[in-house]
Amino acid sequence: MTERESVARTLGVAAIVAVFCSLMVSLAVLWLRPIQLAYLSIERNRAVLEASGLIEPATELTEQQIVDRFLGLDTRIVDLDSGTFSDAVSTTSFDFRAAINDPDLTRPIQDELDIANLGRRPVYLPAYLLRNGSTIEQIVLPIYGQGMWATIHGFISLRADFATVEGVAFYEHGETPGIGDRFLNPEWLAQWRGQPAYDENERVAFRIGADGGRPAGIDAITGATVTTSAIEDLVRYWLGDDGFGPFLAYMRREAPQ
Amino acid sequence: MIQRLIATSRNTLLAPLLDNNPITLQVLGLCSALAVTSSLRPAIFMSVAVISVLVFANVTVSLLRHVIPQSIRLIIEVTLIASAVIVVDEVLKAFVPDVAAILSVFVGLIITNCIVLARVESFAMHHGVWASLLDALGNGLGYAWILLLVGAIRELLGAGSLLGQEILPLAESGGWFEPNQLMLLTPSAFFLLALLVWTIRSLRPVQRSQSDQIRSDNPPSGAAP
Ligand SMILES: Cc1cc2nc3c(=O)[nH]c(=O)nc-3n(C[C@H](O)[C@H](O)[C@H](O)COP(=O)(O)O)c2cc1C
Repeated sequence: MTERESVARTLGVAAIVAVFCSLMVSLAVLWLRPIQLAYLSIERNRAVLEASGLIEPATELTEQQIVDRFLGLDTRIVDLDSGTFSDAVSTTSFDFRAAINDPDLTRPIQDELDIANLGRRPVYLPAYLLRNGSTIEQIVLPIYGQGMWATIHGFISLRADFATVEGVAFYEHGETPGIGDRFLNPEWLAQWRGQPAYDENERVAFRIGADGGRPAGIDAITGATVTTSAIEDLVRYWLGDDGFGPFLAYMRREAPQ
Repeated sequence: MIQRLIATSRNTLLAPLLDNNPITLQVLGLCSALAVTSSLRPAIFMSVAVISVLVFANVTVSLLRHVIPQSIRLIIEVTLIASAVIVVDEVLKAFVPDVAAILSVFVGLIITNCIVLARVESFAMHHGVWASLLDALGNGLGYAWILLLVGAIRELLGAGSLLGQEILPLAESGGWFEPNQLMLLTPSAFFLLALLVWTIRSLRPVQRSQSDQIRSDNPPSGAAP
């Protein structure tokens, strides 16, 4: 065995290359992460506006225009445990990433309720109210859940009856390009408009695809059944009793201004 | 002596552009060439990404070529390539997020792009840093011009525009140009690449594979030439 091929030498070279590469990748991520997060927060604001129909998908807008329109919405914080608005958290300092990841701000979900595979559910989430004078016209709520490869994030907008879907928009996902990511097709998303979120007995009525004689309000996507059912599940979770269900029931009863 | 050196350097840089092009002659890297060329902008950034990774991988491997033990050669090479790809991917996501969304997994797939591993294994392991740098640039550019050409043709014929700027006035807005939707779909990239390979091989008969030559030397009777 030559010196170059010795075990010590092999381990040494492997270790040095490994350390060098991990340093390079870590430093790059450390430097670039804040820039990426800033962009993501603009995309999140944009998705709120798209879900409510205030802007058409794919309209070209500057960051300033997006932020300006976003600030026209009335942002409130919902306490999911009590199912009411909460003033315990300030809307200006609210950090969405922390709210859904921080162990102190989330609590475990019972396995049988966890249809969106979230593991933990935040206590506080934002709700965006679209107002005309003092009447609420729409409410936009964050929704997310496990897709085929990664978490799918989006917003759903409900009409003033708090039981009918007005629109939806997604801003972060890891579905396969050309297969799973066809759920971003604007024509497919347009089918969500006017779909029932709840039936007359206040049970979650949202469905994707036809089933046992019931026609499809929203078509399932051929070849992307995993993604489509993940989206159906995550919407049903967030409309359900463990998600925004109690809060929306409270809104239907009280509709506080 | 110096002239010989310049001639070899020039050859290292220029040969991969046409005579030894990684896509049209070696037929490597096709997956990304098909996937990211539906318009010009993603093709540009994909080219830059591949060139950066190639240069980084070739230069580092060439620097380490006397140190790397044979037994873990491939692992070391792939580790270096993969790290470079992750950095490039993060840079794209930070500074051109719209393009990063279009390129999506295809940036990550540069790790498995045979062009990169082929250059590192067959060239950088046996050559000095300067030659490896030129080799990386040459092959990167050889990959890039094909990508850019295909991207430009597909965007022009498929959407009547280049880099999003309207070039051919569209029929739907009063012009005369009826865009060809097929150009935006993956098969059109196959057709364009095939036409390119055909053109290049007709102009440079050396590039024809042996079986091609036998066939064209003895054309079956009655077959079109
Ligand atoms: C590499 C690969 C990636 C895939 N990505 C997705 C995906 O992102 N979303 C999805 O729903 N299905 C994806 N599929 C297909 C699923 O495995 C499954 O076949 C499909 O969802 C079934 O749809 P169907 O019932 O309409 O045939 C992928 C398959 C492969 C091989």
